[in-house]
Amino acid sequence: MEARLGSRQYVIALIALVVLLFVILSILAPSTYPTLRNVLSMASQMAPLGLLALCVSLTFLIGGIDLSIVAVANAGAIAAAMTSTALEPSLGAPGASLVGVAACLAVGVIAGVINGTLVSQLRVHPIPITLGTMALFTGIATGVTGGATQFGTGSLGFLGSGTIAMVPVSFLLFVIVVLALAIITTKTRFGFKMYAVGASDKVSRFARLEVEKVQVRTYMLSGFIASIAGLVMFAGSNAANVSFGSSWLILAILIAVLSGVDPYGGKGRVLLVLLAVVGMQQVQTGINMALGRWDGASFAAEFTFGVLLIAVLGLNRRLGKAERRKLRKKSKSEEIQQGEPTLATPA
Amino acid sequence: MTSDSSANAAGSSVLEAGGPSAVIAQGITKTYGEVTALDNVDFTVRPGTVHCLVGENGSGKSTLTKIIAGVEAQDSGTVSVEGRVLSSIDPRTAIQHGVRVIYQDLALFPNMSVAENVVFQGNRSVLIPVSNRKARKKASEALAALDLNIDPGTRLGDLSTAERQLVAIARTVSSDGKIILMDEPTASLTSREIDQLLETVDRLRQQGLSFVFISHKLREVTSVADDVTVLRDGQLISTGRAGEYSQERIAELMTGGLVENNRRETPAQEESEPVVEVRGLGLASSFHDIDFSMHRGRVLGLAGLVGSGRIEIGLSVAGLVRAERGTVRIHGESVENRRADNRLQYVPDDRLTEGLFLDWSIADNIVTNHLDGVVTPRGTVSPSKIGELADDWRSKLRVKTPDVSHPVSSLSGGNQQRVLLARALAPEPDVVILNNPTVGVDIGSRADIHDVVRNAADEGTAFLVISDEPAELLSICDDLVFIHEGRIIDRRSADSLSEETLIDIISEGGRS
Repeated sequence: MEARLGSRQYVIALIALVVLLFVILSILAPSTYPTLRNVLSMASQMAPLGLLALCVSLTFLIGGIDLSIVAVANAGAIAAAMTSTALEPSLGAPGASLVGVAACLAVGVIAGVINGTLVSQLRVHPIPITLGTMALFTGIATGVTGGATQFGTGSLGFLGSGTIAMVPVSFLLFVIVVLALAIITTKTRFGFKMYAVGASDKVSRFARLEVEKVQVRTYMLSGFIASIAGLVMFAGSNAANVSFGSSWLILAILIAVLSGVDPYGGKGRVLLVLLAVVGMQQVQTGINMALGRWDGASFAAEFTFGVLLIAVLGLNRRLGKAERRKLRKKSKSEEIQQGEPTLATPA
Repeated sequence: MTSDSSANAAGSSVLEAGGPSAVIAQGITKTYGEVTALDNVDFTVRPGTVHCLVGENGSGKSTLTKIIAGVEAQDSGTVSVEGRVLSSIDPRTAIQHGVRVIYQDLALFPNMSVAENVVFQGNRSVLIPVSNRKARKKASEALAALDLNIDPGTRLGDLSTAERQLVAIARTVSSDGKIILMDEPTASLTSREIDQLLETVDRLRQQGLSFVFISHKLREVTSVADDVTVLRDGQLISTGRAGEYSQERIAELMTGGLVENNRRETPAQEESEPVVEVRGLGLASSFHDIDFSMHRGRVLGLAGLVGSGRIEIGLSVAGLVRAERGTVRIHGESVENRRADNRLQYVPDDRLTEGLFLDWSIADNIVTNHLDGVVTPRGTVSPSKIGELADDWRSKLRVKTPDVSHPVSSLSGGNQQRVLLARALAPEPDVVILNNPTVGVDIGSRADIHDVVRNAADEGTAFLVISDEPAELLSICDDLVFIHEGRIIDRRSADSLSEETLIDIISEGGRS
């Protein structure tokens, strides 16, 4: 179990990072940063990105990746906007929006099943496949809308900007999804098989696990959550367009990597996406505060995220190696204490 | 371990007297993690001789050849070729000194012609083009030198395994190889093909080439070897002139006298209703018209050469390879998607890349196929139940570990194999398919694993065992089916067979 979840130190390091960022930014901007208003504002921005990062970390867990998530989110949002607008005259705004929500989630599930089926049947690396479906989904959405922004009925506003006891609804939704996924991945038989496929799809196949089923379900889950992200995006602005959130893919990957889920699969905790999102949101807010008035601010932000992605990946790899070495040493020394000889024969 | 030390000392002094040696390896020690693969081993090849390196799986013979070939670095000790110590340890240096290795998979290009394969040299710059005419000429010369009648223009993939083996030898000869290391060259050959190979080896020996010949087929060893070295568990057990060794003596040295020849004494009687009934199973490239039945409490063995289709048949019954024709019935009903059927379990032979999640704990590996047995009423997987299940199997199969939460990679080969068996037996299956269940396992563990199989069979499980080791098939199986080139050529009861007859049937390939 411990081998699958990754090291405890990493959890502590991540918590420390979040706290450290908060302290540093609070010292730099004592009058604006450590305020309730700022904290709630940050929380209200986290949901779409956090949900997208969950998609990446889920697919990371089985040794894959889903690059089509932003395209799926937009396609879902467009489906929601168009169906709810079309049905508003007959069903009224709330009823039409409800159908729109269903349409959005259906788009996500279908897109996910397409991704999963292609990945499991073609046995090509998921990077080219989901890159292809990203173009496919964007293409279809562009064709349907002609590239024009679609507007909804406006009755989903509470999801985008509503609060319950001051906490943004979208943030609560994100937390609920994270907790649900944490339970699915670590407590269920399906979750066990996800870790197995991620650890080695070859070994899983020889163990006669149904690898294809696990892959299809995981990508389906990823598509489903991507469409929830799309819904949150749509609810916030009451608008949907194929080009929204174009810079979020790299951010979602960065958050997933920062959460410690191994991009090679089979290791990590989805729960930590929560901490990673909080960390990243602070970095983003920090950059905005520092460079807000400079023309190149968004440039600098992307540059920083690129550097961070590579740095975190490299660091994780190092930590992983050291961890494994330690684990091996530990079990060896215990065996020696027990006085048991290691009968052994390499092939 | 030192039971044969007198012969050892006498042997090495004899060897050293024979002029400048082709290869001298001195004091070679190699460890992989906690495992000592070679322990201070000395090894000498006289020029113009065939030196057979024998030992059981995992005795260190492959490691020793890899070190001589510069593929693996030794921890200590030196290798010298024709009197010169190899300064740096890499394959290129070894090749420059005339060392060539022919691996079991031959490392040839099936889509290139014989000529292209013969003249291919990995150390040549890719920028220098190879003239096709020159290549053919050179290849023809090399093939003629071996007295081989193979057209250099043939696509390599169209040749038989034996012919490919000879092409591999031609390649080493044409590239001025002087010392040829062959890793189990006869594993996939019929007896007639073996004879052809041994003749070629003999001819080249007379031309002054030296061979290191790895094999565990003792008949070949005694017929072709000039010198013999026996390894066991990484230790040099005995070395000397071939004349001093009989097959029986080598067998005893290899196993340390622990030759296990228990047969199954009280197998269950065949019941009228088979557990598994295979009818007309066929897959174009590998096997045809396979019929057999497996019965409750009985162990069925599939015997045959490497590459005869045995493994594919096992994979197909397990649902891992889809057969094109035929049916597999389990308890009388035809089951199409056998991969999802937990009444059936499969244990692959390659623990490290096919069998185990190496980074995972022992417990998680054991529970992989029995998740239904460790869920709470709410449907969640319970870590404490996983621990209980693993502890239970640890004591049942005597897995040597202080704690089942340790990574499975910390175990020795034999214990890793026990973990795999536990994984297969945990869901209490009706049928278990074992592919080479004791590859790379020490002798003590092998006997234990055989006991585990016998005991599980006594409790009613039906087993299908695929093995390269004749002794193993005889030790655990009740019935044997012989496969040659994908077809069943014979069926025998294990009681009626001696090891010699078994080997004969396998290597004659049905032509007596």
